[in-house]
Amino acid sequence: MFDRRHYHHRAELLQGTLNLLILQTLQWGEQHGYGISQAIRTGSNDVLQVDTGSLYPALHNLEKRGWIQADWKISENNQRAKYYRLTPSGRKQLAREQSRWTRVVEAVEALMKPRRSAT
Amino acid sequence: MPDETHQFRILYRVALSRLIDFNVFSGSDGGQKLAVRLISLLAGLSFALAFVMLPRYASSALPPARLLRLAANDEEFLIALTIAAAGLFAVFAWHSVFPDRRDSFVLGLLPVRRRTYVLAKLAALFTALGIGIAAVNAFSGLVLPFVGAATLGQAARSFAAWWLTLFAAGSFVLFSAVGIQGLASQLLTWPVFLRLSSLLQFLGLCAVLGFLFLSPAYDSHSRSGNFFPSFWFTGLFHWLRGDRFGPLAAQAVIGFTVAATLAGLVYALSFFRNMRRILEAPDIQPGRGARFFARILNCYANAFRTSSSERAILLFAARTLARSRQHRLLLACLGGIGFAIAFAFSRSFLEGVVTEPWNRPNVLMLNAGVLLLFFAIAGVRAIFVLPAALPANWVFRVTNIEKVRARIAANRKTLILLVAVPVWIACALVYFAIWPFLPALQHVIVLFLIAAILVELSPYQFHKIPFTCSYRPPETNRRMKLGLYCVLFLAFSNSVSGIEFWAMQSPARFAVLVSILFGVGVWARRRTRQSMRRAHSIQFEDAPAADLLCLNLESAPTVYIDAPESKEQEIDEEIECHIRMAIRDRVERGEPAGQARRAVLREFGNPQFMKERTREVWRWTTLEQIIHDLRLGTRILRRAPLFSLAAIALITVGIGGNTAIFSMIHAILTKPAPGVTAKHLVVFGLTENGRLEDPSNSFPNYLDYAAQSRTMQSLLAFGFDRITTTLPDGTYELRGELVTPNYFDTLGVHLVKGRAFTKSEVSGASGLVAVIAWHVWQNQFHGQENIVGRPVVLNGIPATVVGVTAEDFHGTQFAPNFEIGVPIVSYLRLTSPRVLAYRPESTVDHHPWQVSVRSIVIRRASRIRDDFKTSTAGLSRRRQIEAGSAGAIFRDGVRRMGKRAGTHFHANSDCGRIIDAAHCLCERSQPHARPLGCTPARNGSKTFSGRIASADSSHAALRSSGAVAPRFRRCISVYSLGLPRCGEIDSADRIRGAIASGPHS
Repeated sequence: MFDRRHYHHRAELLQGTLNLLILQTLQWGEQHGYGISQAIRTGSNDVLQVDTGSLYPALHNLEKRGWIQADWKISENNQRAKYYRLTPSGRKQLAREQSRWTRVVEAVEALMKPRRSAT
Repeated sequence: MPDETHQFRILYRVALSRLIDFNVFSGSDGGQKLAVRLISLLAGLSFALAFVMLPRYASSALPPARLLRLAANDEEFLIALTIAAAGLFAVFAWHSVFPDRRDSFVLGLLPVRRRTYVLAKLAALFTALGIGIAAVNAFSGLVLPFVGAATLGQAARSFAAWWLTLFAAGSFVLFSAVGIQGLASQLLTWPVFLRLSSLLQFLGLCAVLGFLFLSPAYDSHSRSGNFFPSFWFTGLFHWLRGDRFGPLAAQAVIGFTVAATLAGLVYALSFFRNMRRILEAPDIQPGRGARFFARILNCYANAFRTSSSERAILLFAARTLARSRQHRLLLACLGGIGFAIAFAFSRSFLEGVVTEPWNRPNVLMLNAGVLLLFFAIAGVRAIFVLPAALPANWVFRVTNIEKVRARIAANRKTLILLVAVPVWIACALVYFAIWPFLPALQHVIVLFLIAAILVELSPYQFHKIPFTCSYRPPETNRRMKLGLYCVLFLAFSNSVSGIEFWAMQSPARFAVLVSILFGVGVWARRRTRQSMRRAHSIQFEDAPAADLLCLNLESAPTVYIDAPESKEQEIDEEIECHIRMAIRDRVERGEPAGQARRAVLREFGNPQFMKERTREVWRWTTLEQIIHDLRLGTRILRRAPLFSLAAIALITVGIGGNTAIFSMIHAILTKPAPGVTAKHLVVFGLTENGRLEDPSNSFPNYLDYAAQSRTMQSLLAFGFDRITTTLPDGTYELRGELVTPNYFDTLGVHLVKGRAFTKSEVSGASGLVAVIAWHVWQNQFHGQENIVGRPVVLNGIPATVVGVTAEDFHGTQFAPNFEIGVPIVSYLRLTSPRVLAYRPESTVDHHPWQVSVRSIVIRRASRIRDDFKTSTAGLSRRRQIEAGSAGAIFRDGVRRMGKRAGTHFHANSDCGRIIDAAHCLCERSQPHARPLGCTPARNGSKTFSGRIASADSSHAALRSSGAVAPRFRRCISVYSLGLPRCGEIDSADRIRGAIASGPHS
């Protein structure tokens, strides 16, 4: 019950931002899937929660496109885990997506401002 | 030691990668990629060689013994190439062959047996050599051994012998290099050996290139061949293939044994002695020579009043060249190639191939100097991009050399001082020594200008400081471009030197040449400057800087493990991992285990559904990509529809044209004519100025050849004529062939009905007879069964059909010319008897009637040629032609025109045959009188075209006689302007008059 209510407080991820978030997270070093989801959650102060049902397809999609690369390693608490890291082309893609994101944010902001000033 | 095999494997891999990695080539991509690239480069060379050689052997009609003799030359070249490749490998891998300082430091401390190490090193060495040799011969090695092999066993033996020889030759070179190096290292003290080894390397390089470029044409009996290892091993190959054991093979065996023994001994010895010696001896300091060199350069720099930054660059470049073994070695390699080519040019004088005296100005010697200069300057420019030491980058980065001017000046001065001036002075000395003063001076001036142009061109788009900055191996296309420049220069340098030689004949021309070169130099300078101005700063990195930097600040050491085998498993395991970690996190936060598990699973959703979606990412990858590519392609095409349409149309036309032309070539050259037994068929023809004449012979000549020939089974002749055939139901124009009676036998044409001509029919005594083609029988005669014996009227002459040829036979040419065949003698006797006897006095023969000669070979081709030569000589004697005319027979030798035409034998008669145009016209107009007369002159253009068409074919008859053609054309124009109709032209005098008076009279 509590969980469900909590869920309602969370923001839905905007379409197409998941890739950006994953790449942004991996920018600071390699990470496994669970680590990525946790990083996004804690990084956004629990506002953004990545649905695992879309996280893994997205990760594999990025891997297929060659933007991230995966290695199986032993994690810090001695478990097998698949670690993802950015490739050079992934880094370029991240730069592209960042700039696109900035443009989108600026555009949305520009649309929102007049209304805000009206209220 | 239980793990010896494992150690061996690791050491082997390390040694192999170090052998391939010449530092020069190494870049960001791994060793494997590099190896693949090198191998493909060598294999490409081999493919090109095989591509050149294959047609030479596959299409040759020469007897096997002669073919083998010819092949020996190519064999020697390939072996020399293999030896050169192995030699280059030995020179470049010089420091990796023996244990070096790095090995000694690392392996001396590790518990590795010496034996393991030696074996690994040797195995790596021979693997690399073997791969190199295999790559160099990858394609040519599949062609050459099979030349002249008659049976499968022979071919197999030859193949095995060839590859064995190649590996023996390669190992011989490597053994020699190892032996010499090992001997030097044993006999000399370590520092002396290190100093000497670069000299040895250089000498080895010279020897390798020298042997490759200077070896004469292969001859198993020549004395000079005894010095060339490639000759020895060619001898060895011949012995292994089954020839006699000759002195060359013996030399190969002895040489190989000596080299192998020596190499084995010193190698074993070096492992016992060298390790300790290396560890004890200090590494050598830069030699005193470099310091001396630098001092000279300092003086130079002072004299040129260079700025401080210029001087820094200049001195840095000079010091790098003086100190870096690698740069010197590469420079020696490039310069060596240029020197070898230049020397190979001048060698032709020593061997007397060229008749000009070497101490007079001549094109070859001019070219040698130009080539030397080019390779020296281009070589230094090429190694400019290879960084010497990374610290230099930082030194130059912190110093402020941002001035474009200073940089160009420094680059230029470096090239001038280090290369251009020394090479130019050396060339000047040589030229002044061997040539008279004036031409030598002229050439030295030209060399100076060329050097200036090259020096001005070389800093173009080079925004770096020589020998600094990062280096990535250039992309393939840039390397191709460089190779292309070299090849172009090689190709054009000879003609440039030819122009120079021509210009040196008069002062005015020379002045023009010098001013042109000067203009080019000024242009090059301006171009380079402009390119420099566009560049903002010095380029220190080839690789563009990354947009984002990865920090990778993880502290814990990571252990890599193998990924699960299939994607399905991988996804399963990954999700299990996720769940495990999530549970663990919750448990660590204090939740009870069971509750944590439930919570995680609830949060996670349906794992099965999720796995399915993840798997879908990987499914249909290829199909999706194809669709993606297609969509992208369409989008690009639609962006510029006109351009796309034009491109598509062009490609369509190109493919269509190619297909059409190829199928035509295929039909003409490679497919035998249908219905003809092509084996042993040849075609005779006379050539003038190297071109086959058409029409090529006359009937009387045919008779002479047929009577005199002793080597040909049967000779046949045929000519063409349009034959108007009148049948009860209509009149048809058929393409007729006038044939000799042995036509069908000789060509092996099968007759489905009736018979060939009999003796009485040939002479015309029993009236005209004809053999018709299958399709004529089917179409015009409606396939009547009683065709044999049917009366027909041919060109108004009553005749009888005696036979029908097989369905697929359409004549011997690409165009289906055989529709009806008549005996040549009887037909001509009835239509135009003059043609039969026609043989103009002044020529070997030339006649508007197309009559060519065909024969069957029963012996070797050379015999026929001799026979033909004798006959032609006999003919020319009888006809009192000048001696030079028939003397130069068979300049082309044998040329194969494909199975269809058999072999063309060219007799080269250059007697100036001015054919009496009027005479020919009269002859020609005779058979065409009727069709021309029938053309109604309704309007000017139509008459004109009709007459041109008929005159055109007579023009074709005269095509070979260059002197007549222009006059003849004039004659045609007269002809259409107002002469009486063709049928009325019966005297040669009237036409002669027309020619003489010209078109406007």
